[in-house]
Amino acid sequence: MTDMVLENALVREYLWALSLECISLPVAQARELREQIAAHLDEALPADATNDDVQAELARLGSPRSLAAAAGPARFGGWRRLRNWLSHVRWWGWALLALVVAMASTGAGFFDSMKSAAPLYSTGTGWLYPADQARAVDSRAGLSSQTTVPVRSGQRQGIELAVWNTSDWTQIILGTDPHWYFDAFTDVQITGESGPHLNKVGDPVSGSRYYASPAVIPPHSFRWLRVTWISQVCLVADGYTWFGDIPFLVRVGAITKTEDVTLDGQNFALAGPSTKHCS
Amino acid sequence: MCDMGNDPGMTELRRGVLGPCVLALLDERPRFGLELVRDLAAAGGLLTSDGTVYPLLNRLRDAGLVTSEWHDQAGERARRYYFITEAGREQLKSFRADWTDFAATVESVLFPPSTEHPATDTPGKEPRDDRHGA
Repeated sequence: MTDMVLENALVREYLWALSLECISLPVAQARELREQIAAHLDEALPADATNDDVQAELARLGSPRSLAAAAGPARFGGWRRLRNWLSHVRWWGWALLALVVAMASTGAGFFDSMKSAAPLYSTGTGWLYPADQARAVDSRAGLSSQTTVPVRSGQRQGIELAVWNTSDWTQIILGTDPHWYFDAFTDVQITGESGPHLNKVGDPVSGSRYYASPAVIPPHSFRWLRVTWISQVCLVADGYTWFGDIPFLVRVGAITKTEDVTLDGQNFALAGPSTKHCS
Repeated sequence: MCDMGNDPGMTELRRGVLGPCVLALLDERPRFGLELVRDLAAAGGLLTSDGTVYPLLNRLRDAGLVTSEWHDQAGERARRYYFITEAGREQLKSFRADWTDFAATVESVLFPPSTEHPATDTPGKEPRDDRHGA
């Protein structure tokens, strides 16, 4: 065949349209018809054919749709049509599809793994600041225990808690749920044990450890966390407020979710009266 | 060129006779695709479009009535030649026999003795197609 004829834009467009119209035919039949039409054009048209010559020859051949219709039954059943259509997909098309499916499956697996990562849990807690530790009053009622300190209005108070991450993912604590104590606790800060040589239970192999934000807990590891806030809660004498869990905002891989971490059965209470004017 | 009309009845009729006409041409001698198309077009009024000959050839081949071979002779371009098979010849022979009776019957119904035959209106005009300059 001469490339010049088959390189003609009108011819290429016609053959492309024919391929599309033959998509519902068995692949061998479609290929054969395309080859026959290409050979016909190649022989019927001189190498220096003008566009008018090409158009006239294409008009004599008939529309690609009419050729495809003449080549096969007017209507295939849905299944056979689909099967024929699929048979036109080249090997690299299937390879690409397989790659996309594999990537999507892997991504879905990772995503599911992130979503279903084992939640953090706490195994030890206590007041953070010596001022609170000195004035803490512990009480017990049934299975739960409570530690109560006077509220220090307008001052930073906080607790320290040991947190385990038993999942296969590094979990990063970004903060607390914005609705946690809303405007009663402001400027909530969370820091976690950090250091270049911490082992799985947070002990330094060498050097010293420090607290940093955000708190990062590697997979299957344990770290101490510090949660502090400015106490803005307004309490009357004999009044108190308490919490037994903290809703942390946690990033696991690519997703961020809220994990409600209970404080090892311990309730932390702030007791009134507030030392500043309450409206 | 003889205009045999584009109404659906004529299209169906063409479709029905095109296969035997292809067999008849191949019975004379093997032909390659474009050659076959040109000869059919030159006969006039048999082809709605040139391209439909190829699907027809493929169906005839699938039915075992023709075969095809690529001929690649030195100095010439490679061409796919079509040959009639023995089964094709049998089919052509049978069609020819049927056609003679059929055509006579149709002729007698369409043109009873009281009607003037249209062929007598244009004496000597040959129904040929010179689209390809054949």
